[in-house]
Amino acid sequence: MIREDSNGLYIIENKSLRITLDPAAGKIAGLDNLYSSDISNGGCELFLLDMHGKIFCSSDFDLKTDICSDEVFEMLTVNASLESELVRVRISLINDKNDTVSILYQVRDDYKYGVQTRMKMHLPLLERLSAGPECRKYYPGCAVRDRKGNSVLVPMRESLYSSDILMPLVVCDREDRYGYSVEFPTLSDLNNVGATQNINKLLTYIGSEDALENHWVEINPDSTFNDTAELKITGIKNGWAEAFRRVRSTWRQNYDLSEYEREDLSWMKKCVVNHFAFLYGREAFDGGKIDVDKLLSDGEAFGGYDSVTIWNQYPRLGIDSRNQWQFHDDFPGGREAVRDAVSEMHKRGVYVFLPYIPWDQGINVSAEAMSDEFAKLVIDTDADGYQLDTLIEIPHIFREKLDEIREGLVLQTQHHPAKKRPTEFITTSWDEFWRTDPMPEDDVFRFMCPEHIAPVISRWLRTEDKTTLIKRAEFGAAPIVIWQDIFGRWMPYTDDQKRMIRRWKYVYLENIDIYQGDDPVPLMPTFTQDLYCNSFGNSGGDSVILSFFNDSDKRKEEVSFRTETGVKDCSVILGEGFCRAEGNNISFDIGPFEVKHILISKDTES
Amino acid sequence: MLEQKTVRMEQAGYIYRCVHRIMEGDCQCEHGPLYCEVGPLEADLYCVTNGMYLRFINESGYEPEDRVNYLKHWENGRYADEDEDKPVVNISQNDARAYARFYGKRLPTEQEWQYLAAGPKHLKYPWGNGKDYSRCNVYGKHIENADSHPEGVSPFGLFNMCGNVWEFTDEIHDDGMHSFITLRGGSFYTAGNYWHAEGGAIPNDSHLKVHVMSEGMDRFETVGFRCVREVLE
Repeated sequence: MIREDSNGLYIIENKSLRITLDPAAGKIAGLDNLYSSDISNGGCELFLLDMHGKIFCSSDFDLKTDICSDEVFEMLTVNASLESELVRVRISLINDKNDTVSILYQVRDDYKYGVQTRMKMHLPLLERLSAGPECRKYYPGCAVRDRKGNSVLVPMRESLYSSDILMPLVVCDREDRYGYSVEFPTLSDLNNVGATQNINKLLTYIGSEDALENHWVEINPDSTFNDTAELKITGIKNGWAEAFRRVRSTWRQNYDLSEYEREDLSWMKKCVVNHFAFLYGREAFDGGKIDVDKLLSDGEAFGGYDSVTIWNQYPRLGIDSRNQWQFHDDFPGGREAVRDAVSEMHKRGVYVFLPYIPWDQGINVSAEAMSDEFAKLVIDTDADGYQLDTLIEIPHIFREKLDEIREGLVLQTQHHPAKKRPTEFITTSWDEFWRTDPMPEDDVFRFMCPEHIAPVISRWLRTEDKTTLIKRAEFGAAPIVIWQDIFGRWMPYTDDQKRMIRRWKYVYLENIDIYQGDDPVPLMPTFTQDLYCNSFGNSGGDSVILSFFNDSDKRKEEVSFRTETGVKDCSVILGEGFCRAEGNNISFDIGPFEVKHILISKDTES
Repeated sequence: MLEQKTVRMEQAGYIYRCVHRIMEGDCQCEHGPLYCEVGPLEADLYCVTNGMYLRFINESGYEPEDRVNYLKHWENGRYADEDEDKPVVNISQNDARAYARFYGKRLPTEQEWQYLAAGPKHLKYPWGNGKDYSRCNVYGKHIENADSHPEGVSPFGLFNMCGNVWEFTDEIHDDGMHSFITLRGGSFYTAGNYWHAEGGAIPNDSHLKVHVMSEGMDRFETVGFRCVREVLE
């Protein structure tokens, strides 16, 4: 509903929000969460622009307001014009008549000096947004920070081109219930300043209160109205968890994830312990051949390898002109020997990934030719898919060539695919990282796209760090890659660590439907210092698993945690000790740096 | 046909130190600095050529058990005429050792090879400290004759210790989980990508670690060898 009151204010309202606009002053006069009478925000400028050596605010502009609606939306448009600077800004407040209002800023620059000039934008609404005293804020660039100052929710790989997975700004009350979610929707994933008209990606780098207060983001207007920034605002009543679910839903709407539903590719979902076999070491190659029996027998200590990636090229490639395909020809016994090893692994229920080295190709080799070699190697060896090394994308023809061979051939990359299309058909990747103290830490992609199986790996971690690596896998409820021979440096796991992994595999498989459910939420609020919690489950399911990590050297006793639903029953399934249920709360002890998983049966009647 | 010549290197001591630029996994062997003594030796001036290697086969009857890639650039048991004086390649360290052993020689150790290349003044390249790559065969398209680039010889007069073909050394390292060898000198060939093993002009004090797997895998188109003979005083 949009109406004009007797004071000339425009009021936009839906079931979660009320936004009051003062068109004469060019200001937002109020922003209220309608689920709670306690949460409202006062006035602020619509925008500030730093241009031509001066800062202008929305009230400096000539303002005209229009209202329109259709079957779905209603829209209030503020046309702001500053003739002296030849700049116009169109601000559209689009009400979905349900629970969300999108404020879309479109800046048009008619080039006062004949060419583009530098402009920066500040959106006071972001800075001023509050949900009452002691309100909690989850910044898009750093939702939760640990005691060392590190971001706990790790963003997708960032480089010149990156991911379109963007976290919201969430502002909610001290109980983490009522407040606001501000999403920054954009399909653009470029993050270099100047490349795109839409600066939402840059707004999502805001990771602290200081950055929020002082954000001045460079904008790139042209002489037409195009999207400059968009704030998709919702009044929320279930805090961070609700906001995260909303942003996940928004992101997924743009993706065709049907490849993940392919039954023939689903075997990867049950691969918990995945081995990387460097064939120049005796862990996997001995007596002139791939020693499958020894490799898999050693793997029993980890609970058994479910997949093995064989690796026989890098870092030897390049001494002469032999390419990666010829390395299989020259392999002792040739491709037939690789096929024999694959067959032996298949007999023991183990899947095999082949290595693909994307950078090892001549300058004139086409994707067609490479994909032919790619497919032929699978035919020759009967392997189950490819580990694509450093790639974050691959031409779809590679997928098509595999599908022509047979069903069930899986593509896996070393890093998460970044671009939209590769994400849609590369159905598994490593969650690889390089930090030596990776806890507490969550891989955001694991929670945005839970059907994308992403085993955890950090190749150079030494003994103590490997324990942390295992805890990271447990905390994020992820499979793991066992990589002990890192291109010639032997870095084995200890017996205790192998037992940890064996235990984790057992727990994971026992509860696989919950861990791989469609509704995982990272970093549920615990209200306990240094205690972190992830939630795993299915939307509408009757069970949920909460994964806790105590990031301190002190035991925490009688920790109380408020669940999202009533609790019928709870039990510790990973870690030591007991837990108790009381209404919506559970209580438990957790040891220093312990990961504990608690299975909760929801009390659906409460 | 080019005939092998040797030069005598008197016993000498020097502070050995070796570095490397390799990709992940690094190199698990002693790199110095440490004081070492080398010599006296007689060292081959040239890498062993195709012609010399054919003579060895004829004289010794040598036949490797695993023939994968063995002399794969030869046809019908013989090299192309124009390759006669080029360093022999597509041989393994074991093939090279067999050659050396037959003639009462052996492969140079890393410490010997480095001293033969750098001399007592620790030259960066065989010809001196300057990067005068016109004195060697790097960034080329093919292997050149073993006696090419006389302007680039080492202080002991050894030819092509930089570029043309990598050279085997005598060591084979074993850390219990892997076996690897180290190559010296670089080659004419440089692969195209950052992640490929490096080629081209490799300084005297640098080596390349290569994991070994099988004779076929370990015979390269770009790796040859020269020999030394220990001199008994």
